[in-house]
Amino acid sequence: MSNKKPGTRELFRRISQLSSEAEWTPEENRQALAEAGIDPEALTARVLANLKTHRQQAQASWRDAAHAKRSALLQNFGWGKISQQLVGLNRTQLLGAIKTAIDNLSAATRQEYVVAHRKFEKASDDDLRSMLEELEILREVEQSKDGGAR
Amino acid sequence: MDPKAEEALARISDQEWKDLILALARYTLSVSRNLRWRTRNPVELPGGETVDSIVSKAIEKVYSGERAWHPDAHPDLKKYLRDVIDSLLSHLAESQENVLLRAVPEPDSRDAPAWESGSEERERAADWLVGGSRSPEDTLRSREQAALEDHALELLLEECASDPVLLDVLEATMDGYEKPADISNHKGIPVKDVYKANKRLDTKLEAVRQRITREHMASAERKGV
Repeated sequence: MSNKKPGTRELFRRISQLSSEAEWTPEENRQALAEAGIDPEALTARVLANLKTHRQQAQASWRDAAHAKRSALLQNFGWGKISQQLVGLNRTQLLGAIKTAIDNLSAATRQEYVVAHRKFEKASDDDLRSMLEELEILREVEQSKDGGAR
Repeated sequence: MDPKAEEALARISDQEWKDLILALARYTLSVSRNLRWRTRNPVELPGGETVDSIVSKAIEKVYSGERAWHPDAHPDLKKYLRDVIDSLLSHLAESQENVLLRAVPEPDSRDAPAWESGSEERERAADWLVGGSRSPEDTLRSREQAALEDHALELLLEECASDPVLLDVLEATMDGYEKPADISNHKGIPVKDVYKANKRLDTKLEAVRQRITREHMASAERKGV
């Protein structure tokens, strides 16, 4: 119990506060909004449309951040060298290069990579180039681990 | 954004979002009704804000990471968004646009249904309008406001007369019992029913607000203001 009896104004505020903390069904919410002259369906549609925009922006921002991280990693692992090697390779050569790069991985990494990319033959040429860049990163990481172990 | 928040948001279906938006909009309206707005309208707020723009902004702040929602610390997204809405409305109510441009209605003007159920704290915050020393006019206005609130309470009691549970809950709240559990213990009513009664009380309070507004408009018309 609070210390003193509330004034009328405070009494009304408390009623609204407790009411807002109660569980309202969607129908009760619709009715309350409609009684205040708000079209609940139009309101929901507007907010949902805004929500989808925020969601897309958040996803785009996540993609941009991931892309930036990937670029930074590739820079660290000699991205320029890899990219130059990939220029001019046709699809057959790209597929061959990927198979060779996979074979050069350690057994454990190779197994995981093959499971994750089991349908890589169906990927676009751009995706195959990205895979080769990733494989180069993996190779560098494995080599640096080996070096660290020695 | 916290990866857990991202995952949790991605799991919410469109239907769940619709229900959540409705709940948040109703909540926004309820909070807005207890604040003082220069627009004298809890739906059309200063700065071109509306109930749905406030709900949209709250969601946007979570998605953009401006309000960092951590599901581990705050598992209930609805409650978290309600807190964001509280903050947005509070800032808007205290904004210069709302405070500096707030019109002081003439007691008998058509605008006078300036009966708003803002909290006592909110009322004191607006006292700068009348300065340090209150003029006789201000004193009169305050008395009229108090009389209006007493009238509102009379009407609310009248509206609740046929519902003993509502009267019990209202009586307990008037006696200073604030928490549903305390009201429940004091009156022997299940907590669930205390919440339900407060929903009905809130609805009746809104009916009283509208009734008073109509009474004032009719009075102003009769006086030809």
